[in-house]
Amino acid sequence: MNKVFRWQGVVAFIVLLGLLYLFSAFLLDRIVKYAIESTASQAVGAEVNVGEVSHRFSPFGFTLSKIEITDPSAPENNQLQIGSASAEVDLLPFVMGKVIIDELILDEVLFQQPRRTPGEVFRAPGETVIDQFAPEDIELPSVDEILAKSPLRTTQAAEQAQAAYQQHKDAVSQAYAALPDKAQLKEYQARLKALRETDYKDPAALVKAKQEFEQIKAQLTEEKQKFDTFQQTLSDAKADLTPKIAALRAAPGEDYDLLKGLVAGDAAAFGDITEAVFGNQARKWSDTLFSALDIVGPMLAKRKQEQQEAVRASGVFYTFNDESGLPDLLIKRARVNIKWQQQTLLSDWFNITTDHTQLGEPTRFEVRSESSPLWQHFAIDGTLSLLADGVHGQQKWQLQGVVLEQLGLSNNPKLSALLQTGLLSSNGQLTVAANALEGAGDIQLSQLTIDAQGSNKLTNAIASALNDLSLVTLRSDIAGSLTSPSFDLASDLDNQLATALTASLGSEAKAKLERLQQSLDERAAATLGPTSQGLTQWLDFETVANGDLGNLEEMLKSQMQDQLDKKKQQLKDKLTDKIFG
Amino acid sequence: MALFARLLKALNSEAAPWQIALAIVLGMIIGLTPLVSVHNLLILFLVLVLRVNLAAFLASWAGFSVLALAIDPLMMMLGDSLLSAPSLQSIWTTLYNQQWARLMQFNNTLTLGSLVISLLIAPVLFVVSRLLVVQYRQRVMVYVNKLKIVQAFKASKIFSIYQKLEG
Repeated sequence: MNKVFRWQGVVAFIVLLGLLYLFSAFLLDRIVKYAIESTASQAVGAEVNVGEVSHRFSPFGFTLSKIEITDPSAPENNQLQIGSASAEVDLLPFVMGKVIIDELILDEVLFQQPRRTPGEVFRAPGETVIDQFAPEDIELPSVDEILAKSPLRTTQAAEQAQAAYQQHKDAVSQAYAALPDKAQLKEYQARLKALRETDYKDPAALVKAKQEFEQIKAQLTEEKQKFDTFQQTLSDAKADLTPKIAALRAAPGEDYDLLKGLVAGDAAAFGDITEAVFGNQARKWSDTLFSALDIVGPMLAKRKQEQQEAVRASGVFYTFNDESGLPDLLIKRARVNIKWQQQTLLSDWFNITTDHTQLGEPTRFEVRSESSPLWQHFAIDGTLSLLADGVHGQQKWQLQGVVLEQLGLSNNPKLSALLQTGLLSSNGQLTVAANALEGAGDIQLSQLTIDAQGSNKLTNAIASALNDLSLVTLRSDIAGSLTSPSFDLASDLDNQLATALTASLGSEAKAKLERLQQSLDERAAATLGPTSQGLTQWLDFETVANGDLGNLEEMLKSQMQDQLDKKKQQLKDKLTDKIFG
Repeated sequence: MALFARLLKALNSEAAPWQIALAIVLGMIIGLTPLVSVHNLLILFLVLVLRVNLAAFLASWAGFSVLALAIDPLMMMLGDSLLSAPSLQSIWTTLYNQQWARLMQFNNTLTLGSLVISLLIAPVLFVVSRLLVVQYRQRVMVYVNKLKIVQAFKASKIFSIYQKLEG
């Protein structure tokens, strides 16, 4: 027996396995750490750091600590920071190349935390509206500058009215000129009267008169056609010009309403006040709300892509009908413990996978929290699926009474604004269909206390108006694609500021307003005068033409039949007398 | 040179011919198939537990690893044709759903092709190797040992260092 077996070989084999274990114990963690950092960095487009990785064999799993994902748009901050992540992996599916995690626990998840050193950014985020806003350029403009820069309705309406008048003026004039004048009509009238009133003794003369009568009627029909053409031309011109003149009359008033607030500031920049003051913060809120889609989606897609690349490394792996029904990656349940402003939000994720087609159901997520010192109600839920044509999903959120404190809104040298206290409520929904985003949300900021300070006349006025604000409603529209979302903000803030500024700027503003009103009226009058006169003339044409047309139609109705009947009767009587004596 | 020294030492040792032949076969399997495979853990276990000649095993492993570089495409082609054979699909599908089989990476063209070739060659190689060892010892060993080049090689530093390392 000893000639065949080498029993000390068993010991050697066990020692070899021990060495393999030690190798994995010392190096596996570093390999996993490197793999996560490099893969996630590529997916996010910015530096991702993992503090420590430790693995265990029974039950098989990993624990990661201090995961930091740099915010590409603000590298000094972490977009997402995770205190610790722990996952237990099913070993048997794992040897079949499937990562099946029964439960993943993420603790101390934080958003927008400052980094010790700025993270590296590999893909620069797109320029935002905030980047374009430059309040340092804001100075009080003159009325002329406002009028020059603003897309005035008065100017537009005047141009449209003028163009319409010019377009129809010649056609109406030509159609009117083609009409028979009164003398001609009188001549027709006289000829018809003569024909009708003549006592025809000779039937041949009667027949000749009848022919002349028909000839006149044919001419009258032609004249009638000219009247019809004129009426149609005039009708078209009136239909086109009348509303444009009405719009031109109304335009100065509308422009005045629109510009009376802007008389104190630059129109273009003023429109960005909402973006400038609340845009940055609203984007941060929105980034937080959409983190689920922003972060998890691309990472999962990236993982799927890399799996395909790995297959090419050596040999070719064949796949056959998988009867297990399991996708390559499945996290059956993930509990994410989010920390925000010293409060804890628990979020639950179900069925996180890269192959929703195989799984047959989407990834679900929900974040819920009842009343806390910082909010009254907090709920986000949604679904996410990675299908052949891209990401599909939807997300709804409802936040009520979220307490805001000491929130920096604008830190521009000429306009600084700090939201000291306020309540945020928001609700909305977002749909993703084949990577295309469509959604909208309302953000209401109430019970606001803002500490704003300006450095010139205008920014002082804006600051003063901001300080008086107590309620702002922001409307956000989300569009674009998952990789390049667009986020538009609109609010009633501009109107509120406009009204407040008008009041706060006093006599100078009033003087400007008067000049503005005068300028607008002058602009409208320049076009309104000739155009209105033209329209009035057309109406006169119409009145005259309608009178003439009445005469013409009367003439057309006249008949020679009476004369013929009378003559026929005379001939009949004559014949009767001759026959019966 | 080291490969030749190992082989010469094994052939000239007192190891039984079957020990050398089995070592060559096991070395061939581990050399031809991808190193990081579960079945190679079994080969390693057999090498350590069975009284096979380690020098012959190492020499065979090294030799067949070099050969593998040349015939890898051929082995992948075989694996590819086996895995795509319609008549074998039901077997592969059954294996695909077995965890142990997936662990063996049977569905990799190189792993399957090289393992099939290794297992087909193994019995032939065992018989031929054993026969050659016996024949070598009976007919060639005495003659070879008398050759001046072999005597010079045995007297060289490399051979003595190698012998010391082998213990």
